[in-house]
Amino acid sequence: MLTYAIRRVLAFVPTIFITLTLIFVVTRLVPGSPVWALIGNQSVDAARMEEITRQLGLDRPILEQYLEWLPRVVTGDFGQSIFFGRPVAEIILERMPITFALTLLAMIVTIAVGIPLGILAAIRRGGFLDYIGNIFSSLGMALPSFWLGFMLILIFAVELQWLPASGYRPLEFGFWPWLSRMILPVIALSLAQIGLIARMTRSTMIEVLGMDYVTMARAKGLREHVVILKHALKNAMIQIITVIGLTFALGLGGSVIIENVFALPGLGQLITTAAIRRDYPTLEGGIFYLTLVALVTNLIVDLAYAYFNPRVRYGK
Amino acid sequence: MIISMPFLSIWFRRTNAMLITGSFMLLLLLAGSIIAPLLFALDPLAIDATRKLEAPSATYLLGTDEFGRDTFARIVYGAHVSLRVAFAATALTAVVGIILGTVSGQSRLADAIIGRISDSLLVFPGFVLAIMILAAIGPAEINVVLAVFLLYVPRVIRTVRASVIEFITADFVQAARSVGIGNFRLLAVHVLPNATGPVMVQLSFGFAWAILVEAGLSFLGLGLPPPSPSWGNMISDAREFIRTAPWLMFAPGAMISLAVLSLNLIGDGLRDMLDPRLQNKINL
Amino acid sequence: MIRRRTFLSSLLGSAAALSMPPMLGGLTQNAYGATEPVKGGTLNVGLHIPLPTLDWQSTVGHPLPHVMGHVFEGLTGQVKDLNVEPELAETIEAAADGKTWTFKLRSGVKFHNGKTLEAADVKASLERWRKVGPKGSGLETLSAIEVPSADTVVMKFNSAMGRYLLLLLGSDENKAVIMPQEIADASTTPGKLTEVVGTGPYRFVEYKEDQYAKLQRFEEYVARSDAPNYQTGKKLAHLDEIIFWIVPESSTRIAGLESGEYDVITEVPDSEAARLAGNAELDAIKNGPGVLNYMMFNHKKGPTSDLNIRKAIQSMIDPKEISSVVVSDPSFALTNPSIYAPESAYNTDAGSDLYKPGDVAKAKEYLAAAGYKGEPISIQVISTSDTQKRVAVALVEQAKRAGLNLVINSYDLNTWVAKRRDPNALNIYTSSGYWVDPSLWNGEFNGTFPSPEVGFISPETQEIFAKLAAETEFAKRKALGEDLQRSFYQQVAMANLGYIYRLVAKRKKVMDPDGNLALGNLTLHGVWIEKS
Repeated sequence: MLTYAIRRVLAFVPTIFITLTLIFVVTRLVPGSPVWALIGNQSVDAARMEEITRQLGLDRPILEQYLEWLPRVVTGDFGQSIFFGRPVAEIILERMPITFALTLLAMIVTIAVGIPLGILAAIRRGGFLDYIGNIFSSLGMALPSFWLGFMLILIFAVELQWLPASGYRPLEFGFWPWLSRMILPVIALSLAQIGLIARMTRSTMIEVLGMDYVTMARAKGLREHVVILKHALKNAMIQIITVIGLTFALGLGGSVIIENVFALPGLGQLITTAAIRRDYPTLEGGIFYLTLVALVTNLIVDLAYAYFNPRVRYGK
Repeated sequence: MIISMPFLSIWFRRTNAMLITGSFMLLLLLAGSIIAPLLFALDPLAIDATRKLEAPSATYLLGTDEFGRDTFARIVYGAHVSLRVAFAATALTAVVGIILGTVSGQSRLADAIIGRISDSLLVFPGFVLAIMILAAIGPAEINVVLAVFLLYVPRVIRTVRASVIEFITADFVQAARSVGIGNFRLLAVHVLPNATGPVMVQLSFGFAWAILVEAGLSFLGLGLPPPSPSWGNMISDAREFIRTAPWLMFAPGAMISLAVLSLNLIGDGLRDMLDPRLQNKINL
Repeated sequence: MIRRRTFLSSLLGSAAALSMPPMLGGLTQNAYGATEPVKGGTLNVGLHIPLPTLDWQSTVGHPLPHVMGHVFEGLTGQVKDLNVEPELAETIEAAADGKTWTFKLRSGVKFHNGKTLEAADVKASLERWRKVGPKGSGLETLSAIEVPSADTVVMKFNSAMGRYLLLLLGSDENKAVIMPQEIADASTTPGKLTEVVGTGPYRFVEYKEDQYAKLQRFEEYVARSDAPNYQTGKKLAHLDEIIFWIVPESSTRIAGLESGEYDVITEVPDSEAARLAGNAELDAIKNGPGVLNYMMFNHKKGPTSDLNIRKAIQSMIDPKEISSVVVSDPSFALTNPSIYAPESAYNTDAGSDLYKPGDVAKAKEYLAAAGYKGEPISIQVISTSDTQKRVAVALVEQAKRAGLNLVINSYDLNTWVAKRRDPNALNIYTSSGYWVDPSLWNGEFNGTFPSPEVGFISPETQEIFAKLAAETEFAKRKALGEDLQRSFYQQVAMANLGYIYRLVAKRKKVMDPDGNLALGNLTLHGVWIEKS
C-alpha cells in the first residue's frame, strides 16, 4: 500500500508541473491584453499603451516571464490581481466558499435523492419504479444545466415568486437571504448528478445483490431490508463514494455555467471574468486552485479505492 | 468506425429496449431534420422585420424570433449544425483517443507522457479551457469542434488504455505473442476489436456530452458565430425573451434534451449489452 | 462593455436644446409636487456590469460613472442640456488668447476623509489624470498647472484651448475627478487607488468584487447653491445608503425588480418596456440621448480601403430594418441621417442626399466598379453584445441581397479590441455612441481611431477640425458640423446604422423629481424613496 501511495504521489508532481505550464501557455496564447479591460474599450496612443504594459510587467520576453513565474506560483504565490489590486490568494479565499457551498449543497441533495433512488431501482429491477427512476435520471442528465436554470428562474422566481431570481447575499445579510439564493442553482446543478449517482448506485447494487454473501445472508433468513442495507449497501458504498468524490471534483469545474446563470460570484465566475479581462494572475490562480482540488480529490479517491480494493495496487 | 465481429455477435444475442428506443429516437430526429427541408420551404436565415416574435401558429409552428425568422426552420437546420459539430468532435476524439490510448497502453514511456498530459487536461476546468482556446483561435465551427475534442479526448484515452492493458495481459494475447504474432497485428486483430465495445459506449456518451458542451459554449458566447442556427445559439439568443416569448427558449432546449437523451439511451443499451459492470470502468 | 460617448455639449450652452425623452408607464408628474422628499432608506440598484476598477481616472469603462459619479466630483460637471457647468469650480476665466485658464475653487468643500479641498489637490489630481486617463491625452498642449493660492488653479497651454477644455474635464466618460493630493501622488499605477476618497454627496464604503458596491451619504457634504442640474448644481442626497448589486443577466435583473429586491435597474432590454410599463408598481423610463449604431471600416488595408466597396456597403444598408430588429419596441429606435444625436443642437440632415438607404441596385453598381468577385468581407462583433450581433445578422442579410459576401466573426471583448486595431484582421466592426458636438468626432476622423494602422484621415476633415478648434460662434460651428457630416457621407468614413434609446426601470416608490434617470448614465442626485 505504501509503495502504491508513494507512486501515486510522485506521479502527482509532474501532473502539477504540466498543469501549471498548461495554464501559463494557454493564458498567454490568447490575444489581447489586460490593458483594454482596465482602461475601457478605447483608443489609446501606442506610448501610453506601452507604458501601462511595462508597469504590469508584461513587456518582458515570454520565457523570462515564465521562469520568474513558475518558482513563484509553486509556492502558491500568484501575485496581485491586475484588476482588484489585491493578492490573488486573498480573492480566491473569498470566492471559494461560494463555489464550495454550491457544490457541497448540490452533493448533499444528490446523495439524499440519488442513492435511495438507485437502491429502489435495483431492488425493483425491471419494475415500475426502476422504469420511472430511469426516465428521471436519463432526463436529468439530458437537460442543459443553464437551460434548466432559466426554466427554474422562470417558474419559481418570475411566475410563482417563491424564490429570488439570482444574485448572492453573503451570510452577514442573514441565513435565509443566503440560502434562498442557493436553492435554484443547487437544483440546476444537482439534477444531472442525481441521474449519474442513481444509475451508479443501481448497477453497483445489482452487482452486489448477485454476490454469494448476499445470497447467503438471505438464506440465513435475515429480513430483506437488513440484507440490503447492512450487507449489500455497505459493500456497494466503496464504489459509490468513489464516484461521488469524482463528481464533486468535476462539479467544482462544472459550476462555471451555473454561477454565470445565477450571478453567483464564485470561483467559476471569477475565472470567466478574469479570462475575459486577461487578468492573468487571477486567472492562473483560479484555474490552479480548481485543478488542485480536483487532483487532490482524485488522489484521495484513488488511495481510498486502493486501500479497500487491494487488487488495484498491483494492477498497474 | 469498425464494427467488430464480437460486437455484432452480442447484438444478435440480446435484444435491448434502451438501445432500440434510443436508436429509434435518434433516427427519428435525423430523418426529421433531413426530410423537413424537402417537404417545406424552410429558410433559417431570412429575416422579416414585419413578423417578429410571433407566437406559434399554423404558419409558424414554433413561432418566430426577434428577426422574424422561422423558429421551426432554425430548429431543423439547427439539428444539422449541432449534430454536425458534435459528431465531428466525437469522430476526432475517437480517432485520436484510440491512437493515443493504444500507444499509451503499449509503451511505458509514452504512457508517462500522454498519461500526465491527459491527467492535467482532465482536471483542467473544461469551460475555462474552451474559453481560452476559442479566444485564441476564434469561434469558427472547426474551432468549436477542436475545443470539444480537447475536453473529451483524455477520457477516451483512459478508456482505451485500460482496455488495451487488460487485453494485452490476457492469456490469449500472451499465447499469441509466444507463437510469434507481431505487435501491430496483435493490436489490430485482437486488442482493438475487443476494446471497441467500451469505446463505443464511451463515444455515445461523448456524443451526447458534445451536444451539451456546444450549447454551453454558445451560452457563454463562445459557440458558433451568428447567424448560425445551432441549438445552443438559439437558447442563448432567447434569454432576453424568456418572459415575452418563452417558446424561443423552450423549443431548442427540448431538442437538445431529446438528442442527448437518445444518445444516452444508446450508450446505456450498448453497455448493458456488453457488460453491465462496464459502467464503473468508463470515465463519464 | 459597450463603447460609450458621453454627451458633451456645444461650445455655447444656450444653443443646445435638449428635448427630454418621455417616460413610459405613466409616471405621474404631480406625484413629485405633491410630496416633499423624505430623507432615508437604502436604494438597491441592479447594475448590469461589474466595475473593472475603482479608479475612474484611468478608465472609460461603463459602470464607473454610474457608481463613482456619486462619490467624485470634477472642476466641471455635466448638466441637462448636454453642456458642462462648474462643479468644484466657483468661477472659470479664460484669458483672451485662450492659453491661460483660471479656476477659482468653491470654499469649504470637504473630502470624505475630512480634509478640506485645496488647489494643490486639484493640481495633483489633474497631473495624475493626464498620465493615467484615456482622455488625458487631450491635455497634450498643457504646459503648466500653477497654484497661486489655496483656492486658485491656473492651467497654461502652449496654444489656444477652446472651451472644449471644460467638456474634456467634465465628461463623465472619463472624468478628471479630484482626490486628495496624497492619494493622487501615491496612486501611480493606473487602475489602483490607495484609497477611494472624493468630495461627492455619497462616500464610498466598500466594493465586493462582482457582488456589490456600497455607498453612504456623506453628512458633511456642502451642496452648491444653484439649482439642481443633473450631475452638478445643488446635489441632494436623500438616501442613507445606495447598494449597487452586480447582476449581469438581464432577465434576472428584471425578475429582481419585479420581486422588489431592486429599486432601480439599468440596461433593460426594450422588449420588456411594454410589460414593465403595464405593472402598476413599476416605471419604465426611456433613457436618452439617442445612441448611434455605426459601422467603422479598415481604411488602410483590405477590401474596405476601396471607396467603391464602402459606397456599396453604405447603399445596401437599410437602417430602418436594422433598427427594427435591434429593438423590439419601435419607440426605442429612430433613423436619422445625422451623426449628431437627435437631441443635439447640431443635428442636421446635411449630406443626406448621399444617404439613400437600402438601394440594392446602386450597391451592385458600386460593387461592379470595385471589381468585387464575392470575396468574403468580415464583420467583427463582441460575442456578449446582443445589439452588435443583431446589427450584424441584419447586415449579413442585407449584404446578401446586394451580392456582397459578409461573414460574422464573434470574439470576446478583449480579442475584439485587439483585432480592431489590427490592419490584417479588421474589415468592419460596429459600435455605438453619441456625439453632441462636432469637435468630439475628432478622434474618429484624425486617423488614430481605433488605431493609426486602420483609422480614417483626410485633408478636408483635418481642415474642418482645425477651424472648429478656433471657432466659437454657434452658427459657424454648426455650418462646419454640416461640412463634417457631408464628408462623412462622401468618403464613407463610417456608416450610420440608426439610433436606439436605452431603457431604465424603477419601482414606483422611487421618486426622481429631476428626471435624472431618463438621461445618460445613472445619476441619483435628488432621488428619494417614498415610505409606504
